[in-house]
Amino acid sequence: MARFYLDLHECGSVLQDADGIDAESLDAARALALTSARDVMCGEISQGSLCLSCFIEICDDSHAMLERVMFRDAVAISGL
Amino acid sequence: MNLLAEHPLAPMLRKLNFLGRFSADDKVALLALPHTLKTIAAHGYIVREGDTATHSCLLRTGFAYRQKVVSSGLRQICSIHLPGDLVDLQNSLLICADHGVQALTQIDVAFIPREAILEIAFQRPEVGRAMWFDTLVDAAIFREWTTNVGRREARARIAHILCEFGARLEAAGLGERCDYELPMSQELLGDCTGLTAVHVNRMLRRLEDDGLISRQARAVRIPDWRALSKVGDFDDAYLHLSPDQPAARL
Repeated sequence: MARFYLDLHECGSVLQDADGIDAESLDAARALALTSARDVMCGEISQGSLCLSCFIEICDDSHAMLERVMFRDAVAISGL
Repeated sequence: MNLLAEHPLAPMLRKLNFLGRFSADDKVALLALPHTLKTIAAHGYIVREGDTATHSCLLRTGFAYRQKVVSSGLRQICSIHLPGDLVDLQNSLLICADHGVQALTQIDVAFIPREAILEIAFQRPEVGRAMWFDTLVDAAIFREWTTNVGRREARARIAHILCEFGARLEAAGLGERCDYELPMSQELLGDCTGLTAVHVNRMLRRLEDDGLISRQARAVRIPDWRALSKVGDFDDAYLHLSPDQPAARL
């Protein structure tokens, strides 16, 4: 189990994850980031807006960035 | 020396006698209940879903939570418990635990045999009434949390939880409703509110940006209680905190 930090980059502002989450691997952390991106988007949509340019950065214990999960890649979009 | 304050079951007596109806004999009988003391580390289990309960548990110090885990592995926290709470009183009658109870922080507990609880509840009407009242308030909290997760938007869910925790801390004499230590990570708050930790973090920041709360590490300060209550759609009526309520007159 390792500690990962999911920082939310939202329209120019950065919300650092001070708590972090435990995950078995980077794959597991990526799955959590994907779920989180979808959850944040659900909240936004319920308020009538959505920005697909936002993203979540997965960082390690030293806060080095390991991977970026884009909101636009977290959902399949059709019908535009 | 205050002998009552040092008695291991004193937190239960304080909580159950909040309507102020116990006789001196009732109090002596409650404090004489057989019990086993134990310390449980944070995240340790008091009771697991599916267990056959032989005891009910008094939370003496620290915080605990009731939870259920769905087949995908995700956890829903159904309520938070404070010192003085009987965290699984219903198991004295239901016997089979239909949900788990876990330590949020390191906790001190007293396990009381279910037979002893049933005996005192049926032999001493005011004690039985108080235990019934206590489980009804638990159920009211579950209803409120169901409403919170199902029908409030994310910011309101977090605001509501922060208000409830403050109101209950203050009512239990454990802190001030507008200034307290929140013993929960973002992940745990997420499991209370059906949100991910990232979403919780975002909503906490939004509440801060709106001047509704301020935070330093786990310390939460609420500068305007009414404003946060309004955002969180919080009305403490479901907590039945007033000893002057109709139940006290029956």
